[in-house]
This record gives sequence, C-alpha cells and structure tokens, in this order.
Amino acid sequence: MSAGENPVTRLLGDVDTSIKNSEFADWYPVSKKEFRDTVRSPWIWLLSFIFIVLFALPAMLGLYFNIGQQFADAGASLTSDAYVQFALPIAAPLLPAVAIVIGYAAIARESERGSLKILLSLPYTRGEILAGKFVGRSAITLIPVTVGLLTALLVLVPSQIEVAWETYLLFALATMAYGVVFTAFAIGLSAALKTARRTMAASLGIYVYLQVFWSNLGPGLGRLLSDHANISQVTRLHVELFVSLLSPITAYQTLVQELLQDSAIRSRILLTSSPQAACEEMLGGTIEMTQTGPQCAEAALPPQYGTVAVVGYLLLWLVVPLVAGYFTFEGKDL
Amino acid sequence: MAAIELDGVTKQFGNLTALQGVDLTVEEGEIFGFLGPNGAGKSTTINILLDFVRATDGSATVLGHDIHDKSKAIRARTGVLPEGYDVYDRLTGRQHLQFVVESKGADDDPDALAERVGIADAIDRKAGGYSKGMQQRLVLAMALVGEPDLLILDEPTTGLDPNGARLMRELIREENERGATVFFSSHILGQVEAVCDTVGILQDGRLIAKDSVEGLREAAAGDTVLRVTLADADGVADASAAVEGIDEVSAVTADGATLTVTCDGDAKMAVLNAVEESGNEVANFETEEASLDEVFAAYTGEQEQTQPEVDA
Repeated sequence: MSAGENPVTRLLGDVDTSIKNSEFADWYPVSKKEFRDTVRSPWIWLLSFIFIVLFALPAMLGLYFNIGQQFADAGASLTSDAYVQFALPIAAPLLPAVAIVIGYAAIARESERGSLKILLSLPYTRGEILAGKFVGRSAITLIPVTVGLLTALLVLVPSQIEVAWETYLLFALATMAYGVVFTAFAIGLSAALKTARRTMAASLGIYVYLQVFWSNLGPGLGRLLSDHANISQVTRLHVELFVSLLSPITAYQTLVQELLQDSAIRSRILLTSSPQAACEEMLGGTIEMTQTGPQCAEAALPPQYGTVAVVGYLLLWLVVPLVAGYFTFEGKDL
Repeated sequence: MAAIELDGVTKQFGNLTALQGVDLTVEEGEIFGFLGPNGAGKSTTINILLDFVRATDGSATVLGHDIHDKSKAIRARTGVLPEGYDVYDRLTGRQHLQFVVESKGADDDPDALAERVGIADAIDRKAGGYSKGMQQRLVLAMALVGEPDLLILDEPTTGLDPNGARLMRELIREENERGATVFFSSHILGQVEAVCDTVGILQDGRLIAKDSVEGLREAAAGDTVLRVTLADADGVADASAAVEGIDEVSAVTADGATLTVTCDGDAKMAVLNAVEESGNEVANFETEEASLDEVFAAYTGEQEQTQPEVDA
C-alpha cells in the first residue's frame, strides 16, 4: 500500500491484512473470492435492483404525494414507522427469494462443474470452505438490503416524514439478519444436495411452503389435537402460537411488529386465531381499548414467546441448515 | 521419507470396485508417472490422496501426513492440477492466481507465474473466455504457487497442443530440479517415458507394475533384439557359433552378413565382444528396444498384437 492512496483504500487494505493475519480466518480468501465471483452475476444484479425499487417504493410514493405534509396540515405527525409498516410486507416475502438465488449455487454448482476440485486442492477444510462461502455470499445479500434501506432513508429525510431512528435502525438490523438467515439456509442445502437444480427446487419449495401454507399449520394442528386428543383451549393456543413462530418469515415479521407497536405481547397474540382468548386465557391479561387500538394489559409473556426466543427461532434457520450441510458435505465424495 | 505411500487402498463405489488393495511408494524427489488406460482408477487414486473421496479400506500418507486427518497440511505443501476441473468463468487469470497466493499464504507474483506458463498476455482477461489449453496453463500456474514440495498432476497434457505439452515437461523437470516430487498420471505413454524416473501401471484398480522406465521395458519385453552387421559375410558362421555360446543369448539367426541376436538387455556388450573375438569386424549394429507402448500393452494384456517382431 503506498502512502499516496486515499484513506478509504488504505483502511480497507489494513482491514484486509489484519483479517488475513488472524489465526481464525483461514476461510477469509474463500469469502473474498466468493464475493468477487458472485457479484459479477447479472441475475443477482437484476434481482437486487427489483428488490431495491420495491423496498424503497413506499417511501418514494410518500414523498411524491407529500403525505408527510398532509399529515402535518391535519395536525398529526407521520414517522418513518409508517414506511416500515409498508416495507415489511414487501421485504418479508421478497428478501428470501433474493437470498435463495444468491445462496443456492454456492457449493452444488461448483461441485457439478468441477471448480470445487480447484477450491479443495487448496489448503482448506470443508468447514472453512462452507464458512467462507457463507460470509462472502451473505455480504452479497447485504448489498441490496443496505442500498434499499439507504434509498428509503434518503427519500424520508428530506420529506416531511420524521425518521424514528431507533425503530428504523432496529428494523434495518432485523432485515439484514433475515436476509443472512435465508442465504445460510440456501447455502446449507447447497452443501447437502447433489445439484444446483435440486437445491433451487428444495429451497424454493420450502420457501413457498413457509410463505403460503405454514400459517395454516399451527391452527390446523391445534384443531386436530383438540378434536382427537381433547386438548384445552389454552393448549390449543399455545400450539398455534409456538408453531407459527417457528417459521422464519413469521418470526421476522413479529419482531418488526413488536418494534412498531412497542409491544411484544400484542404482536404475538395477533398470530393466533383468537387474539382475545390468547390474551385472556393464555397470558392472563385483559383486553383494553386504547388510542392505538386494543391492547392486552397486565399480561406476562412466557419466555418461549419473548424477543430473545423469537430471535433464536429465526437463527435456527441459519444454524440448522449450515450444520446439516456441513456434515453432509464433510462426508461426501466429490 | 516417502512422498506418497499407499497401503492396501481399496475404494468401492456401490458395487463397483475402483481400486483393489493398491500398495505404492513414491520416493521424495522423484518424477513418478502413473500410467493406465482410462477407467483404471488413476483419478480415484489421486482423489483419495487429496481427500476428495475417502478410501473404503487401507491407509495412505502424503508427505508423511495421514491423507484424511491431515489433509489440509498436505494441501498446503502440494500443488494440484486436478482432472475434470473448471475455472471460475467470471474471474480473471490474475484473480485466480491471487486467490491461490492468498490461500497458501505465499508471496508469488501473478505476472511471473503467468509468464512461466505462457499466458502473460491474457492474465487480465476473464478465465471463462480462455481456450481449454489456456485454462490448463492457468491451473498449472496455480499449482506452482508457493514452491510446493509435491506436485500432483492428473492428466496434465489434456487439451494442450504439442508446444504446451513440451512446456509441461520442461516445467515438470524444473520443478523436480528445485526439489519437488512430481506425481503425474497419464494414458499417453510418450509423456511419461520422456520425463519419468519411475512408472507405475494401474489396470482395473490394481497396480500391476512399478519400476524404472528401463526396468519396465526389460521386464515386459524380456529380450532385446540386436542386429549385428559384419564387415565380411564370410565370417558369419564363426561369429554365430561364438555368440550362441553366451548364456544370455536365446536365439541367433544369420542372414547374409547380418546376425540377429535375441538376448537379455544387459548382454549386448558380451555379444559384440564375442563377435570380435571370433575374428570378425563389426561394421554396424542396432538394437530394438521395446517402446513403452509395447511394455504397456504387454502389461495390460494385449501382448500378441504388439510384441516386437523377431526374424525367424
């Protein structure tokens, strides 16, 4: 590095060198290679562009129609929470699709085409290759997410819509984690399955199932158990809530709703077939009408439905596929 | 210490037995040619050495390390040109080389490596646009990164033109002179014959021969055919009688001034001495050694068609 280079380049160079020299970062060159290679895929650019546009669209429309000013004129104030409320149903189904396209080819494609032989000829364990691919491809996923979040912010700041920074930053964090989870999910399947085509089919299949059918699974199971096992209403609500939280899509949405509504309890009971019964019978609270709609007061949320637990359920979709993928890949003949 | 040591290595893919109890030692510093027809199990052996596939039975070490438990340490000191590989289409030659340099913690200059294999002009182009031969040169350059102690080259001349094949042989010799052990597989005998110290022949998953190139020739073809032309045809009968008296000679025929002698390879001098002692002058002589093609054919069971013809 010559001294004449600009400070950003020098900083990046220094970071690069220090990671390279770290004892635990043998996988680092793999992640760099992976990033450089994947970032040149035109498909990923196209998909990212679509994601960014759709993700930032509510904010742009808000600016265009000068919604913030209209609220201000009416004596109310509008914050970025309203944007998040609109962006959430866009990000929740779209981001997994982007992440799956970024992740699915990670190992299966290389194994099919033979470049994995070049990679495995180098001094890496298979675990290091998986780690490098996870880091490199997650970084790719974070590009459209970050650009989308920044674009929305750039539109929100000059508009009359006030930015609620804390909520926005936590939403950004949750959305990044959500993207990384689905990238890991696709990479894990890619390590476990034989071909890229099968990986794509399996990951999209699971994604569609989660998106379309999982919401029926909890209630269906609850009904089945109450019809045939004669479980109580409370148990049935527990089954519904617990099962629905196991979906990463639901987990992400309820975490963001929790931020927006400033209430974990309210965002959880809305996931059950009967929020009122869930509040009163399951959580021992009472429904009270407030300015912001019905609230479940004096209720205590058991730890398995708490924020930490739900973050844990979301991260299970990162850990389980990667671990399963690792063990399959480790035992596999090329 | 042996560079490569296989001990009873067996590999089964379902019902198919790819390797059956292969024992093999490759000494440090030698150029070892691993010869065999397609499907004999050469690539499977190499894949096992690199831990790409796991042996069903037996054990092996490379550079003194267990091939499975210490595979990473082996690959840190080994340069590999695998068979059936693919380059990263979207990355340039330079990015490929930089990646390997970083991966091995080496400090080679990508330009110098590209120069060595003759792709310096193309180093900043995407490897997806390279011809098969250029890709092969690129991967060879990647194998040379970090002065490896061992080079494992699987069918290295595949896709190379004659110039490329010559370059490959030169590089193999250079690397060997630097101190590297070279293990390369081929089904093209000329390649092996030209550079190898030792050759192993694999067929149907079994190592059927291992010897020096010369040793193999003798072992397979047995006898050398020697044609001795005398200065004077009158002395043929005496010379013939003298040569027949040598233990290592199995047949002598005379035709005009020429004697055709079938003998052990190392009896050549004895034959010529006997001819001179019988009072004749040798005008000319030539030997016919079995080529490695014939050796190979003899070992792999096609003896009849390709045995060198001997005058009756």
